[in-house]
Amino acid sequence: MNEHGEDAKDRLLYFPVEADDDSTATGHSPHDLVRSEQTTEEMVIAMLKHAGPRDPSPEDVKNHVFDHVQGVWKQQVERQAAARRRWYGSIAAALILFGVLGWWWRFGLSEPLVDSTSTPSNEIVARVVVWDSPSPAPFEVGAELEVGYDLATTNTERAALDMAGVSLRLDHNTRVRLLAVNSVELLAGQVYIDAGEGTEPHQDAAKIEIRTSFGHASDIGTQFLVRIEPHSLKVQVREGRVKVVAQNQRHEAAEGAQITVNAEGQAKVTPLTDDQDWSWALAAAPVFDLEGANLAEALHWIGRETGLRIEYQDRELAAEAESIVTHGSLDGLTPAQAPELILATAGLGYSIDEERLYVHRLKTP
Amino acid sequence: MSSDFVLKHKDLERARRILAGDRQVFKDFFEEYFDPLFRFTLNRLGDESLAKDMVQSTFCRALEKLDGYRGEAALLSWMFSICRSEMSAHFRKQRRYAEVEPNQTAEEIWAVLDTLADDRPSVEEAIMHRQMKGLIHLTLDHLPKHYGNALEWKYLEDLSVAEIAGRLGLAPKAAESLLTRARQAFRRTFDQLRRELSRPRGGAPNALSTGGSR
Repeated sequence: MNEHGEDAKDRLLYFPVEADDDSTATGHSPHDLVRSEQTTEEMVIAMLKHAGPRDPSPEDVKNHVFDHVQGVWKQQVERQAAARRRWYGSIAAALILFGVLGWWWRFGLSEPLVDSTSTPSNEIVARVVVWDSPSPAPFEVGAELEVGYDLATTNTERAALDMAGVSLRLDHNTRVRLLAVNSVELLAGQVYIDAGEGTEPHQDAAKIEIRTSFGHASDIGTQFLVRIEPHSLKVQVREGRVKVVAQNQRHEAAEGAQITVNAEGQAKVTPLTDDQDWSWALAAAPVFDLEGANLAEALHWIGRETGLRIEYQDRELAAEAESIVTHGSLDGLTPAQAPELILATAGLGYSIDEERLYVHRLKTP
Repeated sequence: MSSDFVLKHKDLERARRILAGDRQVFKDFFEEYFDPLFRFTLNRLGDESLAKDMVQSTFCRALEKLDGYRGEAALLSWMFSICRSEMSAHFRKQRRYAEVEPNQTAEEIWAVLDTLADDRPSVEEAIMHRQMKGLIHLTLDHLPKHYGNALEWKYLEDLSVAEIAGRLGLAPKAAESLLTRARQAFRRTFDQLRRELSRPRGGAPNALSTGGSR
């Protein structure tokens, strides 16, 4: 009831008549006109109460339609991408013919960090290794992605791609574009890169380059994280070294350091704080294939993913670990959870202190 | 820079990103428009399965036409116009022409609404009630999302301005002012939609017809 003693549903449920309203042609009763003087707020209240809250649509219907529409959309994107590739191919051919592109790329731009060998426009540059999603994942494990592909994770998804042996992991709300087998553009969010081992520290040939609007980061055999923030780029180095080029200036950071580059291209190298959290990268880590591997390899993988140094009780145990063949699967376990299962199965014990996973024989009773 | 220009720019950018394969933008686009379109079609067709098919074909048709979208109308309005075309085509195919009453005025419709306070409305009144409810919800769906939500929170969930401010991350004064703008936008949009939907469209039933013969 309002101050006039009327109940909302008894009132006429529409707004004061406007001059251009078609309905003015027929005129209004005095009763209508009195009602038309009610304030907008009163009428909005009356109308909303009349209609009640909006019903959400049934989830199963929505999901079904989404799956169908998404399929149509993917096909359409593919068609468009194919058309674009044909177009770019023609342009590139023309440019190559005149030798312009090569000169421009080599001398006209900032230092290319990675040897971006020409990638055929439809080349597969990445493979999906993990797509962690509470709802049906957009990609199956093993899905191959072509150059130019844009992909994004939602706030509940994480993913890991394999790019010629380099592990690229995408945290929540991250968008990337695959530029080449060794080059990715980070458009939003943060990625973690494990470029694998074997690159000598003195070697300057990077395995992967992460391009951003602030600057480009590339590995020197390392594990690192690249994050875009509203006004800066942050590169955090877990292992090895990373170089960043911004505004034609080259900067480097080693293990335990981070480089921050602002919008003007100014860079600052600072130590990483103790509370640096790599756990999300672990959550998105590809699962180690336990079946047929040996215990030493499995522990090596755990060490690489968790950042722990693996130490055996003695040399004999280290040698023995190489001869113990492992079986089964680590599906559903993160690298941090894996030692429990693997070592218990092998009849061994372990302890973890700050930076070390110590493997030992179990004492016989 | 006018808000229309900003909206147009955002919608065009959104269309461009969908076509470029940006999955997140595509998902957001679907999430944002599915519920309004489903409510609209369900209200008009009264059949969930048919409404589902209609929304599905609306999205598919929209994706087909998206590269021709030039921002002439807001993306949501553009989607609704496709949805209405799809429904018209469906009715033509089904030969389910509803009788459009060109002389039916808003007054007559509202007069029926006035009787809804009766305990036992007639079938026609009940249909009219459903259509009115649909039009009000359609109006909410056409508003910017935070406007529609704020109005529902305030007048249906009885949230205080301070609570609404908290949900929107605004100061109470700013929330108060947003509510005022939301009410005004509701009023404008309601009138606009009512006029637009009352207009017969290519032989198909208009928004205020029942979808069946009388």
